[in-house]
Amino acid sequence: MTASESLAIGRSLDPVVIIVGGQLIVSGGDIQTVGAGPVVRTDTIERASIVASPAVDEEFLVPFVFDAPLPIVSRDHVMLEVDGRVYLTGGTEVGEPTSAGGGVLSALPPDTTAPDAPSVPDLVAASDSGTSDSDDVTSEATPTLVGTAEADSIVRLFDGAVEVGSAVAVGGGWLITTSVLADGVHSLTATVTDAAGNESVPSGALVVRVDTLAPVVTAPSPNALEVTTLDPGGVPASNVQVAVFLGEASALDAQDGAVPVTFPGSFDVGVTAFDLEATDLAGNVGDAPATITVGLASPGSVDIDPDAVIGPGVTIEPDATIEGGAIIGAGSFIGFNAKIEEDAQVGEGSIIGAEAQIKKNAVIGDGVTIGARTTVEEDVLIGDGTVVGEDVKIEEGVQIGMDVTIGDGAEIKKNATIGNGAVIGSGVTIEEGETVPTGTVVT
Amino acid sequence: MGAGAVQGRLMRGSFNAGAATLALIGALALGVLSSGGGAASASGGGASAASAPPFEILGWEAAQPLPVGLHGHGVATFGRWMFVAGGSAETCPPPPGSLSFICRDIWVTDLDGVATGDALDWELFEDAVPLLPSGRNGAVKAGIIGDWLFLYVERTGEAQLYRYPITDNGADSPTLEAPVAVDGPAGIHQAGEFLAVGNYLYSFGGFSQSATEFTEVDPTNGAVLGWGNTGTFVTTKSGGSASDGEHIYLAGGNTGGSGAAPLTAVLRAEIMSGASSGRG
Repeated sequence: MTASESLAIGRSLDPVVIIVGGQLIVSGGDIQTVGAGPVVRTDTIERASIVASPAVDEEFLVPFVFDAPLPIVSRDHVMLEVDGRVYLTGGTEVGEPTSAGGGVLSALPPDTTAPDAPSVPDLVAASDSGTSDSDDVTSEATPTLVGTAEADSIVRLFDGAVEVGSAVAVGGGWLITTSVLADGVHSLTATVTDAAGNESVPSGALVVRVDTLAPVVTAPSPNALEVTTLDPGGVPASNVQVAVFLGEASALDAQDGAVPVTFPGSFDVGVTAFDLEATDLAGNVGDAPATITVGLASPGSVDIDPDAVIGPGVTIEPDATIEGGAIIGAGSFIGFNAKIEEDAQVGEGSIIGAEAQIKKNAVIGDGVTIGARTTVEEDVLIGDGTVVGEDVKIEEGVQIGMDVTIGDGAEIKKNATIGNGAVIGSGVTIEEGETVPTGTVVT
Repeated sequence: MGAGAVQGRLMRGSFNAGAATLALIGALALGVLSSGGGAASASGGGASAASAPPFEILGWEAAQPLPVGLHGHGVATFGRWMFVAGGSAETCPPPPGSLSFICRDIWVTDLDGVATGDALDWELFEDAVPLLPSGRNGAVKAGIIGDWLFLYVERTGEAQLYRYPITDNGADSPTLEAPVAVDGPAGIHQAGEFLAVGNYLYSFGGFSQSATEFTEVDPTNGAVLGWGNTGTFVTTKSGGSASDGEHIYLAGGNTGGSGAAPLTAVLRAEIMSGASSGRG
């Protein structure tokens, strides 16, 4: 036999003992004094949890605590537990030890049932920063989460095993702004604790990534560029050169890795200082300063026939020739010493490489790239978006569809036809009159 | 420690109750409380286990009249039925020479009525508690094993164990057949403890009584298979006891006759399976 905690108030005469829900309940009884002295009748209940496997035999009970007073009796009563309900019979009223009081009463058992787990926490849209408000990536170190739980229950939010916030559920919902979360991935769960102190098992986990650091943007080095334009308005300058220059910029985010760099789409003539910017998934914006200088090309360095039509924003490099009747679409680029013969057409946004030649009546679509030193003979038709490599020969009457890719050094003989999306490898020769079907790859 | 007076934990081997050594064996196999005479060992800290979980008595129902006197009444439950026996009350004055101040009736009621607040419908078994021939300060303790109600009827200087067959009437109140006297513990455990745990009856403590006795009961026929004495025990009269099926807990009482030292600790003893009682 082992002895454990003493009864808290030292009651000893005729207490009632029952065990309910793993707890020892002691009620009523008198406090005695040695030597038949006066007794003090008690009217309280105290109880202590029974430890299932105490490390020390004598510690089979945790300390006693008090609960509600007995309703009417103190001694000579009996307590029973049937199906978890506590019954009390008889008893002598407090202060009237000789009178009969009591009766039969019952009380509900202690609530030891754990409530259901709450819903999986959800990051509120306002805290879910960045381009998506539902990707659970946020730049907030103290994000706000919501969920559902039984009204008036206490909701505790955990990051792993660490509590990061709590709230009382109102109207079946809860809202918690966490304590500071470090950058990185967090697994957030919630529990609810009911009024009786029973705590649920954790909810399912919400994985939230906190990213408070902006990407680091690196500008091209040196971070300035000088470009020229024929447009006295100066807007825009050569998109090609600008794009190439700015394409050398980079941005690296600590969590997202490489992220795209953005910049203004056009620049005025003169010196413009601007910021290169990069935005990560959490919406953090990094920037780096850059400078661009847009100047006017020297009028004497190019040969442009007065009957040629030059669209706005066209860049024509020195020693280029544009004959009468030629049409150069807006925003196109004519490279150094390139030649556009009479009545040839170059679509908008196309690039004619250095020393390339576009012969009479050839028609180049929009967004086409013709590599350096490539020759496009008379009456050739090239569709939009096609890319032709360097040193390619395209003979008379050839028709090339849209989005075709032709490698360096290829040769397309007279009257050949190349379907949309075809790929002609470097050095490949397409014979006279040959047809390459749509999407075909020829190597 | 709990609220109220702070007391040291009673440590093994240092129990200072001035009591005799206890050595309980058999079905109720208890450890040994040494009476080595040392003072109770004070310990500054509480138990190392986790703090007590929340608990509350969620409101008492309104009291309903109890048909018997209160002092010394015994109660036992049979499913949702509750038997109440004995108890002293002015409404049942004892016949001359009978069990003093103890009503002889046994009542049974449906506990569901307590929970619902319905008036309890008491069924009476009149004069069901047998008389004891002499003495005073009577009390009745009750326990049920299987379909058998056991009453331990006591008064000063004598005690007797009775067995009642219970007839289970389903939705209607169970009924009792006439009791028979069966072998009780050798000692008189007046104001002691009487528990029915599983198929065993335990009786220990009481006025000038330090023995701890137990018996197995055959639940099929109610036969008392023989009392065994597990040894001596502190004479904890007027305490309280309960069992969770694995241990027997004792709280309070005092360690001798009137005016003896109060016992304010909680003791427990493990119930060892496989041990035998004193039968045979």
